[in-house]
Formats: sequence, structure tokens, C-alpha cells
Amino acid sequence: MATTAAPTAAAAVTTAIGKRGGKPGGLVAASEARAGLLFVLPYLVFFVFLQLGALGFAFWVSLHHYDLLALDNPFVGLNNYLKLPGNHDFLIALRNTTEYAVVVVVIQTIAALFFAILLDAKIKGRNFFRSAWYTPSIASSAVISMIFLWVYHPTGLLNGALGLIGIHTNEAWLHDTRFALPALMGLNIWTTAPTFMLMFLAGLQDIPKEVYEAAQVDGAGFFKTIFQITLPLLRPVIFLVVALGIIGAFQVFDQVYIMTEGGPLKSTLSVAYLIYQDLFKDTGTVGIACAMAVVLGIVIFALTLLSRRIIDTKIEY
Amino acid sequence: MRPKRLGAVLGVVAPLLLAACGGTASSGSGATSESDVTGTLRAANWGGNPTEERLVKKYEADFMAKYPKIKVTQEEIPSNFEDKIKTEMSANSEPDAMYVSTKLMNFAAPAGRLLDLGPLMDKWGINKSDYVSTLMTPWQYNGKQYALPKDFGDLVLFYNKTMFQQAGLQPPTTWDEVKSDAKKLTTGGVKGLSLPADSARWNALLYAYGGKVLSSDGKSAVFNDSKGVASATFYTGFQTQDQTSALPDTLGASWPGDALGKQKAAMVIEGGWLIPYMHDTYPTVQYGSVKLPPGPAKQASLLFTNGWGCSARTKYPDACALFVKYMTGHDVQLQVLQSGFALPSRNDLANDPAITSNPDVKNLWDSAKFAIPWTFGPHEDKVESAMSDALTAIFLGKKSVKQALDDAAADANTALQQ
Repeated sequence: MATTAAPTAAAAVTTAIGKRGGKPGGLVAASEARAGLLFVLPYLVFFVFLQLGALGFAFWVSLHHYDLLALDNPFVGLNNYLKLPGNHDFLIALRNTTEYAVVVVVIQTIAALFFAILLDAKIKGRNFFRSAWYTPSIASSAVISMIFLWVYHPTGLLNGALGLIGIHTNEAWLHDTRFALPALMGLNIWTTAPTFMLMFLAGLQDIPKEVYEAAQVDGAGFFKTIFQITLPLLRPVIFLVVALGIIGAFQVFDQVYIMTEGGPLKSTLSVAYLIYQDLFKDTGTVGIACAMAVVLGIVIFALTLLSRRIIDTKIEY
Repeated sequence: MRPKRLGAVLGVVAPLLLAACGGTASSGSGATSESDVTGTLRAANWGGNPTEERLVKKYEADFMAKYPKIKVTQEEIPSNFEDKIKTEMSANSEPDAMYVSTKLMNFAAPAGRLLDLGPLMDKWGINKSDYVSTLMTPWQYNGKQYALPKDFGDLVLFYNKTMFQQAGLQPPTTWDEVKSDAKKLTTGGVKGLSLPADSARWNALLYAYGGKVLSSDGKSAVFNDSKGVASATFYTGFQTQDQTSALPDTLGASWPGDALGKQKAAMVIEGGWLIPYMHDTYPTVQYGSVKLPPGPAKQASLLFTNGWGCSARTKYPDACALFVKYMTGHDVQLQVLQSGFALPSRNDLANDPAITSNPDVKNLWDSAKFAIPWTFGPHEDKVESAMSDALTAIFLGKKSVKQALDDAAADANTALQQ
């Protein structure tokens, strides 16, 4: 969830820097810019050294045959990158991660939107439902993963529930190549959808009442209102949710690490987990791991830009 | 490179501060008597369980009582031991003494991060011949000795005595008997065997068939040759052809030992760790053991061992060598044996009643003579998981034995040739 904090703070930084270079002249503006900069300074220092710095270092490492313990790490140029298309594990991981991201982002965005619209309506016990639905997002993903280990256990909650509706099985969900990845998808949707529901709720409350009233006067029904008023006006929030969803899904690691270790038969091997394996569990593959990390970063960046192009067009009231 | 320098600074400052706080007399490399050796050692072990943690603490306290001029601080690393040590080594802040697993050995020794114990063994009277000989090889690299074995485990065949008696069977002494016994013992929900999709079990058969995992130079995978295919066909055939074996999961068990305890499998291939487990969890189940039968080429078992070693950067090599000597010495090893967690690494305990009076422990101890250390060099994680994945694919019926092993060998070779 650290990913959610970063873009917001980064946006603050851009705003502050933008102001400084932007508006010409004016003593007030200048001192405002200085104050702004002062406020973001602690984060800026953190960002430059520990994030931007680490990013640059990772790129530098990716150009070397690198080992954590070696005294000499020879420069190999783009060799580590050129090896990636022939790296069987990387291709599997990339395919798994893409599949995971597509399913998770689509379903969690729709689910979050659905529940947000539902809970935005004036129904009885609305506050109770809002808190109840948000509960899964409070616990850390490690804790949720531990819980779901038992949910998906052959004698666990899921099979118990299935038994109640007449489906008796002792399927070991996480040990089956067909179900392990979907099981992780389900867990992730269940955990993150509520957070995005909150964002949608906030977005819904930002839409001016007058627009709805006008629609009502014009005779728009419930569905027409949703598709022609609510969704178009929610576009900035939808973009935010999709972008954060893509970033989170492509970085999936903790669930894989705790629940499946990439198995069975690499069916849940994610790029982030493969990077971890090459960093720590293998020898002399740190450069390759960093090359994968850079590629993953580029993929995420490109997809985020693309989704912005598609979703976040200008709103005209 | 700026960020690198920053990292280096952070990495260097921390140990300097630690060293400054702990700074004492020099290592006394001139010391010729054990009682003159001084030093302050940080000693890292992984967290096994509370009992093991308590025992290590006790051994270290006993050591300090015997060598009052040497101070030892225990550093317990609860999990991901090798990851932690590796990052500490890259930041030059690793402990002086540490548990050395074969994994740690395989990345740290070639990088020159472990202390060559050879000269210190001569100096302080540590005899190679005191240790079980097969346990010494995993710690050797380029003819140097980088750690000494602190204990070991190996594989034997455990069987359910009651089931064998009821079926009128004697414990098997050949693999053919294992095969026919498994057929007779498979009834209803009970399987004759429970063999997991784990290379740390199948490899015992691979060696018994005369096969090898890697070529002698360690640069390529050879477990997919005819011997590999024959042994994997035999190993997986219990399940895929005879239907006399099932994965522990299928039997509602968490591991093969659990299947034996739950009386869902009549035989399992496991090690000494099964004994305290059965005692604690399934005290009423009657079980016995036999050594793994000889295969077409030879009798084999797998040897899993860990050692104690020192950092190449330690300021107190003499103190550390004495510490390793003590932790792998007779007194501690006797307690290792009595604790029942693992077998001791020393020949002088061969006639201890704890071994000779317990037929299961005796089988495990005797198997060490022909057991082969399970270790495959710097990329062993990927080699092992490639082999285990091959077994899984065969068990699931996704690939033929030959195809699965060929694919796994290709994966392993990718890792080996990186």
C-alpha cells in the first residue's frame, strides 16, 4: 500500500516545483513557493536519495554482471537486457503477471465502483456497510495472506462453504496449477477493492447535485444517469483507480512470497518474485534481476500513460 | 556513483560503531595456549525452534565458562538466514562465527568471505578424522576447509509396524520388495507409500541408479540421462502406474511424516527429524525403519548437513576457531545427539548408547557411510526447484518422465550458465 502514498506526494512535489518556475514575478508568489518547498523538503530528501537514487543505482547495476559478494562486477552493457527474451522464467513471470493484472484491475475497478454507487445511495445502515466493506483493507497484506492460506486449505473455509451448498471437495487450491493464480487474484481483489471504493465514494460526492437534477428534469432514468452522468464525470477518479490498480498488480509480491513461492510449476511466479529470487536465492544474477526490475518499471509506466490517454480525457460540464 | 557511495558509507559506519563499542584487546595471534586466546565474537544461528535456540545459548554459555577470555554474543536470525548473512557480508558487517548451510557455503566460499580453517585446525589440534568423513566434503572448496559439520540428517525408509504385521510382511530389503509390499499395503484410503514431488527424496534413487545431478565440473545438468529417467520412472511409477503412492496433500497430510502418523501411508522416505515428530504428535503409532535398499548401481541416501564457520574478516580468528572446535567437539555433539534433533558429526560417538540402543537412530547413523551430500553449487536453488518441478509435472500427468526431465535440465542449464 506504500504505492498509494508515493504518487500523491510526488504530485505535491511537482506542484511546488511547478509554481516556482511558473508564475512570473511577485514577492508573494516567491515566498509562497519557498514555503511550499520547505514543506515538501523532508519528503523530497527521502525521495531523491532513497527512491530516485535507488532507481538510478538499479539501472547502473543492470548494466553489470553483478554479484552482492563479488569484488569485481564487470560492465556488460545491455547484455542483461538482451538475455531477457531468452529467459524462460522471465517470460512465464511476465505472462502470469499480465494475466493477474488484467483480471485484478478489471474486476476490482468494477466491484469498487459498484459498491461505491450502492453505498452512495441513501440506504439504511449505510455507515455500517461502508465500514464493513472497508475492513479487509485495514490488515496488512501479509496478515491477509496468512488468513487466506487457511481459507484455501483443503480443509479450509472455502471448501467448508462449498460443502454447505452441496459441493464436496478437498481441493488444495494453492497446490493446483489451474487454481493457484486465480486464488491469488481473488484474495487481492477482496483486499484492495474496498480502498478504491472509498476513492469512488469521494469522487461521487464531488459531482455537483445540479447536474443530477438537470438530468432528472430532462427525464433520464437510473441507468441513463449512471452511464451518461456519473461515469463520465468520474473519469479522473477512474483513471486514478486503474493506474493505482495497474501499479499494484504488476508489483504483486507478498502474496506470492507467503502463499505459493511461485508454485505450483511456476503458475504463480510473478516478475517481482522472480526478481527477489535472482537477487537473493541465486548467485551472480543481481544484474539480471535489476534489468528485469527496469523492464517492469517501464511496462508499468507505459501502461499508466496509456490508461491516462484512454480514460482521463478532459471533462466538460 | 553517488548512491553506491552512500550505501557504502551506511554499510561501513554501522559496523564501525559496533566495533567501537565492543573494542577490546587484539586477537592475540601470538597466543599458543588455548587459555590465552582472547576475543569478542558475534555468533549467528538461525531460529529453529525454542528448544534449539535454548540449546545453542547453553552451548555458548558453556564455551564462555571454559574460555573466560572469549566473549560470545548470540545473534539469532529467525528466517531467511542466508539472505541476511549475504547482505551483511556485502555491507562488511557479518558476524564473526555463523551457522554455515550448504547454500551459504556455495555463495560465500567462492567469494572469499569465509575463513579457511585449515591452518587454525593444525594450530589448535582439530583433527579431520574425528568427523564423519562424508560430512567434511560439503565444506571444502579448492582444497580448503571452510566450516566444520555441526550435525546432520539423512534418509531411511520408515514403515508402519502394525500394518506390516497385519499383512504378514517383513520390512523390505530390496526396491522390488518395496514395490510389491506397497501393492499389498494399499487398501481403501491407505497407500503403501507417500512420496512427495521433492528432489530431496528422488535424488536418493537417482544416486542408487548410478546417476548424477550435475556433470563433474558442475556446469551442466545431467539428471536427464538414461539413469535419471529410469530412477524417476521408478520413483514416480509408484503413484502414476501402480497407484500405491499418493502425495501427502492428497492423503490430507502436510508432509509424508504426517501421512505416516495419520496411518494413511505405510512407508515414507524421511530422516531423523521424524523421530521427535512422531514422539510428540503420534505417540501411539508403531513404526520402524530400514536403510534405503541398494539400487541397480549402489546403495545410496542423501545427506543434509550444516556446519559452523567463521567470517574471513573476523578480528579474532583464533577465538573463532576455538569456538568452532568447541561447538563441533565431543561435549556439544553428545548433547546434540541426546536432544534428538539431529545426528552428531563425530566418529567418537558411534558407540554411544543413544545410537546403538535405538535401531532407528542406528540405521540413520549407518546410512551416513553411503549417503551423498545434497548440494549443487552456487545455483543450487534453481537446480533443486527445476528437479522438483519436473516431479510435479510427472505426478500431474502433464509431461512424460523424459520430457519433464529434459525441460528441467534446460531450465537448470540456463541458471548454471548465467
